[in-house]
Amino acid sequence: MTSLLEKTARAVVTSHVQDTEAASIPNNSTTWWWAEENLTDRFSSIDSAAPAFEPATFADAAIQGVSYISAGRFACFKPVGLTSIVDAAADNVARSDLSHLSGSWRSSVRGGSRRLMKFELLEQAAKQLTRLIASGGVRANQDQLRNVGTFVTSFVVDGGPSPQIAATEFGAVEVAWVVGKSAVGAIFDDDGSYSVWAQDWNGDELFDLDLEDAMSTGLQETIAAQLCEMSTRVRLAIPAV
Amino acid sequence: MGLEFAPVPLFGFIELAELQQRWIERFPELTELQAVPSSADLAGGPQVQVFTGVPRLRVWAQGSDNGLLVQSQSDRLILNWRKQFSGGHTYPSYDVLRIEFERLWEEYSSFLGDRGFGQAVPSAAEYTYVNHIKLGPGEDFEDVLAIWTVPDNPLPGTNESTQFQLIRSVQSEDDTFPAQIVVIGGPQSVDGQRVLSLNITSKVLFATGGAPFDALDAAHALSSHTFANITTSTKHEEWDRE
Repeated sequence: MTSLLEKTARAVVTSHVQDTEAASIPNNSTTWWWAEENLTDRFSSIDSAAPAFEPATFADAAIQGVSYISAGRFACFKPVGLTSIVDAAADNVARSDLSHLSGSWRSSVRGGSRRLMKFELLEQAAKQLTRLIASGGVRANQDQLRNVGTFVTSFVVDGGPSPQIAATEFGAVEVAWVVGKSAVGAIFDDDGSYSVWAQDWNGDELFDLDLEDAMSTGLQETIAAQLCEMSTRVRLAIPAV
Repeated sequence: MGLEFAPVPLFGFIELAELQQRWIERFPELTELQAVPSSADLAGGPQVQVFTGVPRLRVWAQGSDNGLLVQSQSDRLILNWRKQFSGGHTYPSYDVLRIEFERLWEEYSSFLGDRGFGQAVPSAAEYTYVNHIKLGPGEDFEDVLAIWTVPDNPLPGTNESTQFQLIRSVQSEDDTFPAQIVVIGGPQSVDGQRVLSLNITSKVLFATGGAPFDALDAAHALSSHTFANITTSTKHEEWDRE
């Protein structure tokens, strides 16, 4: 028997393929209401509608129904009582390859499983850093802290991966974002120098650079692009420490 | 107004009680409460928390008939002014409260130093404006809030309740003080008078540079600026506020 949740998911996926009107609906709450009200009774084979649809990618305990809703948008639903509600919505997936659907989602503000906004991620980072300082784990001076802060603030984005901050065995401050085997990080020494590194989805090194001056625009863009790509594969924020 | 800092390890109830002795003459009425969770722990929505050992505690220390309330725990120091406990005194102004708060912070810090806990390492400063704006006969949100408009076409039904929340991010030019402003509004009845309750909280992060009280001043300025800009010029004239 097809559950209402699955029925809803399939209907929305089918809608994308068959109903061009869906693509013109703006990204606001009306969209999701419209989708829920109009699509729940229309579905066909999910495989034929969107071959790249990978429900397992979103197989979080609390969020199981993920549905492509229109060009550049998708949403996931969860059952509530006799109906379903939109639990998460996403954009920035309007790319030619449907496989992008498998990752780029951003939760709504509803529910406890949402991904965190930039300020919340920065606050977590600030707490990690102050706890390190308080514990004596780092001998951080003001310039070093300012460099860490500028780096973290520059690259943290809404719904992106959580920055993790730790002390190295030599007392330097390390910042890293890790999703699967892909990662971006930097190590800040107390003499003002720092190194920046990254590895791709396979865990292979992309770059490892020692720097003393401000980063070039090109390197900043490379790091931002790598983090953007990693963001598409984040499902849930790391719990606060 | 408040400062949040890295939790001081081994700072339990006994230490918290001893700390109160630093300001007991100014804040003699003590109440024991459960600690407020770390704000970062609250990000992402409600969570189930499992504790082992003794739960963390917070102490309220209230002044005598002056509306002042100090809240202290192992990772926070907060000073509130509450009108209902002010004995009829008016709000003493930010500058006056800041002096008291700075004194409290020095007393907290010196206590940590004296007891061998090291220094408190702050991560955030916060300032909250709580406003109760009286709504006159026939007045509604759009008469008070510059951001509120009446829809061109009537909504179905009659209004039962209106509440709203705004969250805004603020970034300083040098990335030193990322900040967030949260505005929560809704109707209330105070002494039989219909009012718009408007809470404006500004939180400023400064773990990576800057002094705690610079961040507190920034938080106060953000809340004050937000209040001025979110309310209508008509109300400003009514309040003789520039």
